[in-house]
Amino acid sequence: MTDLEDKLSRVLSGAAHRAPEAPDGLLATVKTRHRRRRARTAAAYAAVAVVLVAGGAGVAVNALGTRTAPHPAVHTTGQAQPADQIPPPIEKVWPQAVRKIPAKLPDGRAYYPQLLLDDHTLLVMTGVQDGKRQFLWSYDLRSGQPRRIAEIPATKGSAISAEGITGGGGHIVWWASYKEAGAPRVARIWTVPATGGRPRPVTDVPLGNVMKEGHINGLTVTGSDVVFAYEKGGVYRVPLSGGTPQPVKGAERHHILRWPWVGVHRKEAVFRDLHNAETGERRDAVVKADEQVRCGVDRCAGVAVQYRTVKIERRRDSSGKEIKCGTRRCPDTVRAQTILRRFVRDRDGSQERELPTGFQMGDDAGLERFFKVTLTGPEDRSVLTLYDADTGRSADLRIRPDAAGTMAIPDGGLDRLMAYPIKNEMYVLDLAAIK
Amino acid sequence: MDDEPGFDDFVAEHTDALLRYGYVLSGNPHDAADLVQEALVRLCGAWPRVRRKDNPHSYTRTTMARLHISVWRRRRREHLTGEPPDRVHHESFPPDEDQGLWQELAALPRKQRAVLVLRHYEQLSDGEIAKVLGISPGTVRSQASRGLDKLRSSLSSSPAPHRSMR
Repeated sequence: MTDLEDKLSRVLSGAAHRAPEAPDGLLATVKTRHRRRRARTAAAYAAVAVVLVAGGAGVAVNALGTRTAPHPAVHTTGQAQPADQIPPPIEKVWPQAVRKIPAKLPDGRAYYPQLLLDDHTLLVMTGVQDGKRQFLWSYDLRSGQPRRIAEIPATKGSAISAEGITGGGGHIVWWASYKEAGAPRVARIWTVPATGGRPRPVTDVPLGNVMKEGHINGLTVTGSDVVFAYEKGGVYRVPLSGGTPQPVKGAERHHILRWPWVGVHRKEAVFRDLHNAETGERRDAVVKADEQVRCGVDRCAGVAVQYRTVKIERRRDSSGKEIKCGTRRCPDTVRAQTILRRFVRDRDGSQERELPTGFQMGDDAGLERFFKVTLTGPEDRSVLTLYDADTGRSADLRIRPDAAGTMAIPDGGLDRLMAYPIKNEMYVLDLAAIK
Repeated sequence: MDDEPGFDDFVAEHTDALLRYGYVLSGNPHDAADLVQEALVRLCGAWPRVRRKDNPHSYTRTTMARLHISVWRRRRREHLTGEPPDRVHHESFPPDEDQGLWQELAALPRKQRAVLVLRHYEQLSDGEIAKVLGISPGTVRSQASRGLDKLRSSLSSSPAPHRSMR
């Protein structure tokens, strides 16, 4: 463990002792709420049936909405939030960027899209969740045919068998964590031609104590080399043909944002200071004291926040008894963080534009331009949309919360590909197709 | 449901542990209480099935983790506070340097915090965390690494009392 991780475990365990005590009457409250909810759901179904017969899907939605709106767990404000205006679906807004393909391969396997090898070829991986044999495939988006590239060599006793999958110049590269008896743990970098073949190890990157120093990330193919960074910082380069990784000069403490751009984090600004590891060009971002931002190569996105200390109401359970924090009273005040602005702007501080309230703070925006934004739709349900900071246009991604209220938000990264399954279809978005 | 055996006992035995978990997950006692109550309501509805097929304890914890990172929670909180959220942490909090870390945790995106809590409080493996949160193991790793990065960078730049963090 790193010092930080040690401390994290300690702080979390320590905090657990200050948890609130169980309120009296919890069981009764839970049962009452369960019964109420069951009754309400039944009523909602009945109402829909009637209204549909009377004619009017719009009315039915309203009836359902008012009756099935999430019920606040402990206390109610009685305020229904007005629904946002939901933009049209993505296939209407940016048809050129959307491809819908079956969510399973023809042989029934589930797959996970990794990256676009070119405009019409998707690299996918199978066997991700079941943890058995894992394969890489290239999937032709025009014909719908997958072609097997390689089986990923199994790593016994390691949770990490294919991480950081990336490609370039006809090569696919990834790394896996290995520990052999009597030897320190390594990150073994593998490569295979994109056209298929037998994976070949490139090099073993010594990891030392991974709990202390982390693994590697930022794997990138550049020309005939592979570059990567240690998670703790420090960029290295190794030829694809093999050899010992050599440190990249001037990037000894750096992380890879998007090769050749490497950088360091400062205060609340992730990748504030950047430089180009090939040309030496520097690009430091303008960030004010009250801002928390995540920067890309050209832009930074984030929020300006204000902290203040506010008094809080005593929390009471259903019988009016105060909820305590461990053996003590809960604190009288909290430090509240108010978000003053949400924005995206160029690194030099110019061209600032406001971002919508529901944008996912700390999330990478595809191509530094497309932000995921959550809106409130009819029935009080959340709707995930994609917001184009260049044009101000938005599109509904068609992602909704599941029955448990959980919404799977796709992890986009900074690159052009965004992919996510909806029912039996995989939505494959190529953001680079949006001009 | 009232006749389903075992539910009352489960609540009696596990509520305190669930509250501790909810508190570490969310960072404040109010959300902890909300999370536990909502998860128990859902467990109540699913009790016969969960009791037969799953482990009710892990079912409830999974529900809490997912609720916490879900939009349902985030939206509801905005309801309750009525103004842009969101992160609330204790002013009057224990010792010195630990307080810095606890406060920085509050500034992490929820998914990142949940991954770190599951790793370092629940001591789950990345594979287990992936199952709990319904995300891929790769995402678990990237979220954890981002979360740690953010903590590291905020702590290294914090003023005096938090300074001892490297």
